[in-house]
Amino acid sequence: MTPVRREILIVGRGGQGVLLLGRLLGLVASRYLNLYTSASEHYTSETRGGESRVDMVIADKPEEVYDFAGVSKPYLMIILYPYNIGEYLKLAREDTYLFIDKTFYQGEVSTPARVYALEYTRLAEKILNDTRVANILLLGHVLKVTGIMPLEYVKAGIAELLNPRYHELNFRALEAGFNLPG
Amino acid sequence: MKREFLSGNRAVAEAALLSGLRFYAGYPITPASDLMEYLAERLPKVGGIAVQFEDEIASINAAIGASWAGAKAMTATSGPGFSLMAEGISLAVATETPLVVVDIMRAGPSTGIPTKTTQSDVYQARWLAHGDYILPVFAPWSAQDSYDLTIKAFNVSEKLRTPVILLSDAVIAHMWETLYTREPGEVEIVSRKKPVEPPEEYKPYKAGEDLVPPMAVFGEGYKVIVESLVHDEAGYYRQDTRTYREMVTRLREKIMRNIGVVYEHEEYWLEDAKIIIVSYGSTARMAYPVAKSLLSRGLRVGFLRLKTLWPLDEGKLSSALSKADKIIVVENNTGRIYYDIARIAGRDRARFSPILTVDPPGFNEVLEAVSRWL
Amino acid sequence: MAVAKKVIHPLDKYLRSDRLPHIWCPGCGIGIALAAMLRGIDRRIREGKLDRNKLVFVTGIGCSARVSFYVDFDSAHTLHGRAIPFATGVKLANPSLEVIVVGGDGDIAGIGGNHLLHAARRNMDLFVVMITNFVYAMTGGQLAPTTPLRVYTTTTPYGNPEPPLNVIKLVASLNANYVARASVTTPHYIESFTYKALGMKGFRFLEVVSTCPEVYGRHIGLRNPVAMLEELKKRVIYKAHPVVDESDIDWDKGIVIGEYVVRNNPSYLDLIKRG
Ligand SMILES: Cc1ncc(C[n+]2csc(CCOP(=O)(O)OP(=O)(O)O)c2C)c(N)n1
Ligand code: SF4
Repeated sequence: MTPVRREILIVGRGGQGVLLLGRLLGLVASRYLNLYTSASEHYTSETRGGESRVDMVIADKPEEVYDFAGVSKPYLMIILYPYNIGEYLKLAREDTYLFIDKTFYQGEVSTPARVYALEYTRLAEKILNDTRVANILLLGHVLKVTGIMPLEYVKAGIAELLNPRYHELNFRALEAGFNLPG
Repeated sequence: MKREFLSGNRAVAEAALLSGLRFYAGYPITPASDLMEYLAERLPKVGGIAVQFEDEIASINAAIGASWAGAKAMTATSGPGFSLMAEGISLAVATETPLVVVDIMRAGPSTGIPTKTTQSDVYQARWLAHGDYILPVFAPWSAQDSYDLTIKAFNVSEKLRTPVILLSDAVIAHMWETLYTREPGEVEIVSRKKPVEPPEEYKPYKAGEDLVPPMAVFGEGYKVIVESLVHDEAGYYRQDTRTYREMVTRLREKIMRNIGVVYEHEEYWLEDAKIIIVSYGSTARMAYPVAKSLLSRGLRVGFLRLKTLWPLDEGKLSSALSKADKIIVVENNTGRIYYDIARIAGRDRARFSPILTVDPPGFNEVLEAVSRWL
Repeated sequence: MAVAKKVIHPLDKYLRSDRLPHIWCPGCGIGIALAAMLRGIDRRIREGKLDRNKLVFVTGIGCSARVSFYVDFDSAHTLHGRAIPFATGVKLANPSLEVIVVGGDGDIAGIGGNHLLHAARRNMDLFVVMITNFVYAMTGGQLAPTTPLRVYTTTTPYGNPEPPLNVIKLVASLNANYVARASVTTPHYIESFTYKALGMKGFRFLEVVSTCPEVYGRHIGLRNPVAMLEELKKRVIYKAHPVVDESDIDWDKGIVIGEYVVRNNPSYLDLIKRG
């Protein structure tokens, strides 16, 4: 196996589940894929509304995560809300997978990255009648496109992290995203 | 062992629970509040209790009281609250109370920047309180290290009957990382030594060979005396030089004699290093890759990470640094550990690369700071 | 220590007699207060309601706080003002212990005032005895939160310009289950209030108005311990059902003692068990 070292950036608004996505990816990588993860969470003091961001690295050796001081060569970028989007887009490279929620961003995306721009929030509303799971729906799509983690492990991660009341809804959101065209 | 994905603060909490924590007292302060919030949920499930007190003064005094009632106790705070705990720390020292105090550094002085860190409180951790004393200070650099050093903090506090400071910071506290946690039985958990003699013969501050008195707690029939004044073996107040000297010397010696247990550092590529970079805590996270990259460029660079910030094992440190021509200390302040290294390794070899930043330093920033001395 | 103690006083069994003589000045009221408390404790112990090995005395710093030196129970002589939080930690870590806090009015209501009010608000399961001598005695006669208006102290050489704190009123306004006041001129009430408080749960507060002939006596011209006790005695008025509105300590109008609050609100330990 070739060494893995992947940087992931997740950006959104407080309340969109940015931190949850980070914790979910980190948990699955750590627990189910035997990888090492280091992530830093950034958020403004208002839990709702301000910018939330997770910078994360996933690697197969612990030393590979020590030097992580924030995403500089993203493998994956998830933009749920276009805060500072200009700045973040500058990081994207040819081999970056870039997912943008178009519900909140209609502007141009000029980047060398592989772009997946859908109205994830609106889709969540339409398919699941619940915009809160837009983050998980988007994640389903990420899994489909990148194959970064098996769907089953992510489900197991959801089951560990979330209250059982919300399992069904999130599983359906994840699958709905996974069923979107790659 | 189990693989987990936890923040530095949660790693501290989980390790504390594994170590037998049963009483947590605290007052909200960023970046320590989430540690208390987590424990407030977890502790009652293992028969323990977490209480939010009216301030940090109450918190540390309650934790000391709980320890004397037989519970392993902890409190956590950050600079401003830690300042309020000063007198309590000295009470815990004088009464030889096992206690873990977590100080999660943020930028200061004063209210500073609550959400951001520097490493300016190294001396505060060492010498916060009045009086002649010494206490162990540990500084983690990752979630794994937060976990491991918390277990060590509890074990040392119980073994040596002393307060122990775990000096984390805002970056480490909120960094989520993969780590291995332990199951009960997988790691040694130390509890304070109990008296073997009957209550009539017991003297609460009478130590044997190891200089650590066995500890009877309240409610066991020993008529324990907790005494904040200078006291003799019985716990009786004495104002003479002999008693004072005996007490203060033993309090210091019980720790220094166990320096082998208390002190720890990590060495990387030291064998034929001509330049050694020394760092600790969150700053070491970037000093390490900088050292590694200099090494890969062909420079004879080594890296030493301090895990114990006080007391230092000067013999061990000076032999680890003995072969290098230059020792560069990288820390996020205007000079703390640098002065120790200059004293131990000599001013002619010690160099200082301060990083004064409230955001985790980037690779180039550290590289630049170090390169001045290459 | 293995030598059996020679009992010369019925309360000797509760004292560390090897630490005597005590530090209190001749004629100080603190000894009267301690003896009366011990009699209340003794009654509970003899009834089998209290195990002396489960009793913990926690004190801060001050003349009054020195009682922890002499009682032959588990005891803690902690920091100035911090006896209440220390005691709270003790009680919560081992609820089977009966924890008594004793301190001066500076210790309990001055520097420790914030802890006092929050412990009372929580109805924390503690018995707190505050010995009011109107002055910071141990440190030589400075202003206390209870010092009456206009009285000379060493830090108010032109007379105290500040109105005093009525601690009974403060604690009664909170969630304490028991609030009482006695005086060293009425030791039988100190004894019976202690006895009663030890049969209750939650926060129990007893103020003991005391005499400090050595320091306060000098300030107010009553240097003679007996004269000071007599003057205090003249002013103490016992009421079976006093009301909080008459609790202000007034040297001219009198000092009302008695049980101001007796109630059975859920204590802190009751409340956390419910969770
Ligand atoms: C933090 C701190 N500040 C000040 C002191 C000095 N000090 C010792 S006792 C005392 C006041 C004592 O007055 P009070 O509590 O009313 O008790 P009393 O001696 O009158 O019984 C003071 C200020 C101290 N020990 N600790
Ligand atoms: S100074 Fe006052 S309170 Fe202190 S022991 Fe003497 S008489 Fe009592």
